Amino acid sequence: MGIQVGGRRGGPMSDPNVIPFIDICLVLLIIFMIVVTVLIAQVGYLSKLPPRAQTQTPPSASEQIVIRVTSPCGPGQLSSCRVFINREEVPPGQLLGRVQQIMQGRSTQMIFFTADDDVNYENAMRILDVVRQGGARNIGILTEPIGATASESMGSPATVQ
Amino acid sequence: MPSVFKRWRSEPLEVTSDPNVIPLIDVTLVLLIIFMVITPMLQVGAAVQLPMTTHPEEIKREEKQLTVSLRHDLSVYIGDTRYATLYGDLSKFEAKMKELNARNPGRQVLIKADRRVKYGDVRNLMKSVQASGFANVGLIVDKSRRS
Repeated sequence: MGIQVGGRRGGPMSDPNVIPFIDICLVLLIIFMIVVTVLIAQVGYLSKLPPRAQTQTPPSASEQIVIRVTSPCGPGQLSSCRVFINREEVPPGQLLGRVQQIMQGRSTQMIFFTADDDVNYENAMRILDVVRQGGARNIGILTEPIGATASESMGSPATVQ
Repeated sequence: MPSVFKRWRSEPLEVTSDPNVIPLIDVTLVLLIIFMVITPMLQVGAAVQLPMTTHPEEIKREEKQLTVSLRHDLSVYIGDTRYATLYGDLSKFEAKMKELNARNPGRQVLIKADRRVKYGDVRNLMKSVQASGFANVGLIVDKSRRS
C-alpha cells in the first residue's frame, strides 16, 4: 500500500495523490519566475553615433579623447589587445586608472570609442565596459575606420605601430 | 469543555487531517501557464550569444526601442524578422530602417550582436544604422555573474 493520504481508515482511497504533482508545478513555477526576472533586465551601453558630416568644424583636438583598440585581439584574449588613449598606449590592466584620471572633475566629457576591424566584438565591449566603469557617461562610437580622412582631424592616431 | 469540541467529537470518522490542496493547484497551474506564455514574449530580436561584461548599465525597456540583431552568420534582424545579410543585401535593411525612422524619428536603436563577430562587422552595421538617420544606439550585452 502506498502513502495514505486522505483515505478513510479501512475504506478504499478515491482521491489521487496530488502532492508530487504540486511539487513539480511549484518547482516549474519558481523556475519560470526566475527566468522571467533574469530576462526582463536588459543591460548594455548607451552611446551616440556622432553625425558623419562633422568634419567641417572639428572641436579642438586637445578636448578630444579617442579610445582605440587595435589588433591582435582575438576571441577570449583580452590581454593581447592594445589600447590607445589618443596617441598614448595604455596596457589593458592600467586602463581603468587612466580613464578615471581623465574623467576626474569632468564627468560630462565625451569619449569617443573605436576599434580595429579585426578586434573581437566581445573584447571591444569589455574595454568599453572598463571605460564606462572609469566614469565615462557620454560615449560616442566612431563609425568611420580610424585613419580615414574624417578621423585624422579628430586628433586620433592615423597609424600607430 | 467548550461546545465546539463536543461537536467535533460527535462525528470522529469525518475528521480529515489533510488541507484542501485543490485551490492551491488551480492557482499554481494558472500562474505557471501565465509565466510560460510571458517568457518567450520577453525575448526581443534574434537569438544571439551576447558578449559578457561586468559593469553594464541598465537600459530600460520602452515601446519605442528598435532592436537590431547581428547573428554569428552575419544575418541582420530588425525585431524578430530577418532583413539582410551584412555585406550582402544591406540596402533592403537600410530602406526599412529609413522607413521606420521617417514614420517615427528619434527612436533608440538597440544593437544585439553576437560575441563571436568582429568589431568591424558591428561597426559596418552601426554605419548603416547611422546612415538611416538614427543617432542613439545601445549596445546590448549580458551581465557576467563573476567579476
